[in-house]
Amino acid sequence: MDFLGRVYDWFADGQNWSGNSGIPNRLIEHLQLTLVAMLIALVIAFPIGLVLGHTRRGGNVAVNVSNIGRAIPSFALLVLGAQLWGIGEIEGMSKAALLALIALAIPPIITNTYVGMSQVDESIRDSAKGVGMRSTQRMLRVELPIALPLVFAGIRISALQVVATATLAAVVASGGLGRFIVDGIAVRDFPKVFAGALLVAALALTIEGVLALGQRVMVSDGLRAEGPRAVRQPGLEAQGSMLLVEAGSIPNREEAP
Amino acid sequence: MSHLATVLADGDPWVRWSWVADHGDVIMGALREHIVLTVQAVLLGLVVAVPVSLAAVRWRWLQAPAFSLAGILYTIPSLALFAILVPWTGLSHTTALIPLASYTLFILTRNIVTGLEGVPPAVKDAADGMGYGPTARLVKVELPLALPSIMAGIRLATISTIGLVTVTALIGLGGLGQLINDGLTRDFRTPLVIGSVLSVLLAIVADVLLLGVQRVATPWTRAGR
Amino acid sequence: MTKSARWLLAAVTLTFCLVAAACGDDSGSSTATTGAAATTGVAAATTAAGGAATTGAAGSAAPAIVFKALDAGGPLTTGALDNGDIDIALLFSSQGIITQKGWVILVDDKKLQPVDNLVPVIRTDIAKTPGVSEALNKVSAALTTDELSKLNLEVDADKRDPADVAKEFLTEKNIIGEANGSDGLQGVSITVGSANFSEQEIVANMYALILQNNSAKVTTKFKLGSREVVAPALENGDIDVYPEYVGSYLTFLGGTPSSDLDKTVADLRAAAEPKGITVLDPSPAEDINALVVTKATADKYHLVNISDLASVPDQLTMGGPPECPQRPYCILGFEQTYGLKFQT
Repeated sequence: MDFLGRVYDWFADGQNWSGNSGIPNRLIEHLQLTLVAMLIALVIAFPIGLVLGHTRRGGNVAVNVSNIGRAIPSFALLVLGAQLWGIGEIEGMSKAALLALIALAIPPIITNTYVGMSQVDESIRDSAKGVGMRSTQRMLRVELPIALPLVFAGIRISALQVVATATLAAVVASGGLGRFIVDGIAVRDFPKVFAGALLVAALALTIEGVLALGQRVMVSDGLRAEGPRAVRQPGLEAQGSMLLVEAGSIPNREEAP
Repeated sequence: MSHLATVLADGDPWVRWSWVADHGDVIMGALREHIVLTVQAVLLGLVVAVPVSLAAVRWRWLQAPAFSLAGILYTIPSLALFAILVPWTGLSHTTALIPLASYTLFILTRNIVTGLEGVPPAVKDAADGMGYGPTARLVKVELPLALPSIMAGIRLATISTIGLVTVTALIGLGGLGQLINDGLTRDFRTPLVIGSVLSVLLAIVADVLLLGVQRVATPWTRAGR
Repeated sequence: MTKSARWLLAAVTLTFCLVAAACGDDSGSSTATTGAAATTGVAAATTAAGGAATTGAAGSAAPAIVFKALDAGGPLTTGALDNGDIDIALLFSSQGIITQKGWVILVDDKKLQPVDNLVPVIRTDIAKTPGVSEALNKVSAALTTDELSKLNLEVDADKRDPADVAKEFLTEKNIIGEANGSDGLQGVSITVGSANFSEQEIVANMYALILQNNSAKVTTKFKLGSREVVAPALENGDIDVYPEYVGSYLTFLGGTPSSDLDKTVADLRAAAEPKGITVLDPSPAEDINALVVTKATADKYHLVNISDLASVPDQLTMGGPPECPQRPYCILGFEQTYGLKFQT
């Protein structure tokens, strides 16, 4: 397998570990893009999903817009960004990439947070009211912990989407691990392409693993007892359109892992 | 932000309808390629997912490894998966098809397994009692009851595949991604807008169509709403 | 919150702080490498040299020019130069947008660039078909650098289709049309390819049009990629003909071009023949790599020649095609001939 030998040589070459286009720098760029995009998306999307889910109002619109947003191909958002901002950067990150990533990260967080919050059992909400808890207290101290599995699932889906799109962002001159793939394809340096792909795959799997661990740590044992199921309740077979969600049905995409 | 205002103000119009009129054949061709690739990927995914899922229901220990493998494939970003295959399959249709189909596996296997396992044991016993053999029971009782879940999986797989096909433009394939790529390489808004809008519309149409198929195939599920 | 949750939160916050520290500075990429040092010891030693301003060895006293892989003379590069996101752009001398924007092409005072006239390169077995070479040479002869510039501008700025622009040009010059059509190439199948920038598509379209005008059955495979993609495609028969540039192609095939057009073409023919490729007649139109800056940049640093870049005290950014760092008439050449330093 001469090809794999060349891939090994690429990894063994010290030059590929130093400088702007070295593995460490590209990895940092990728992580930076991912983290910043996720944080901004959370700051925007989480409160919206939280409040809408708690008040059970406007959810239909929010979830529909959110889902249609998800149907927009990430490639298109990146190109749109490039047309508007070119290769302009903010704090070392491509503006076009950052904005596309934030836009893509928002929908799963809104949808899952809304659904998780609004599906909290009526009897629990009533009990909390009965005990005299105020609206905000109920939202944060009763409903949110129960909604946490779905919320976290949304964050995981979002994070995966962001890591994947950050890879793609290399075609609009962003940094990150995708550069190895895109530049390699441009000059037909296939060992480089393959090496880049391996790095991206490793990163994605690591982040997914970390988030899965985080979920296990943060979600209460009582909620976890129900176990991993893609489809838990009858309503989940989505009697309505998946993209055009009817109020009350849970889009199947947002599985609790 | 003033730069943004400048770009939006004197930039290219978002849609040059004259271009759309002149390039109807190019647009239709891209749409056709996109649909073909999507259908092929989902069908290929089903061809793999159905036997694997059936086996995983029969031998439960298979579920963990099967789901894990599908999950790993699903987690790897699409551009990386295409790139991993390129040294062996070149910049070809196959290079696109295999990863696209793999992404559907995660969704399809989980939904098919869950659907089949959701069939109440009482119903299975009743079927046995009525003299159905295992194959007959599977085909006439279990699969139909699992159908809502399976169809939901197919719908989801189709929608996500439609989005992913656009990325194949980077390995030279057609589909609506070519229009979007054109927008990038020529700094031209019209193909970008047309490619994106058609992609979203295609996803919505596919979703609604498949929902219709689901409702027709499972009339009993509508009763209890 | 459980104890382990608190640890996880701390870990996440710490990672975020590291990353934020890495991007806190606004001199972009060089600080990203400093951030890496916090997490990878290997990076620290090697990137310290790569990131900061370097005073060169022989030649340039200027800091290394930072290279960004963008596109081949496309909107990412031209847009970046326009917006000031890059200081220097590697463009092609026949791109009309250079004149349109009033940009300055730095003079190649040390004569790095070879003669690079446009020429059709075609598989020998197809070239033997009577009528094919004549047709293609007619197109070649009609093109001048100025005409090419204008056509490029129409495609790049006005978003016109390369095919339309090509057809208009050939019709105006009376090269195709009812009067000069023939069925001389009836039954002949030819595949015309092109590399991935608009000029290539325009000229390749012209080849296709004239062949079709003579009733050949033409298949087109445009925008295949850079030379690294298109040249092998010609060699193995995926395409039959595409537009090339005499000096660059000779270098690609392992030869050494010069500033003498005839000698370069002769050498090129000798190099291509064993590969089953015939080089037709060169066109008057030429397209060479050009280092382009805005008038403002040229004024600021008193830039006229490429050599002047060696005395610029600030760190500059250059945008160009991803293959530039490996190309002898791109970064490799600028490093060797001009002693300039690049950070890729």
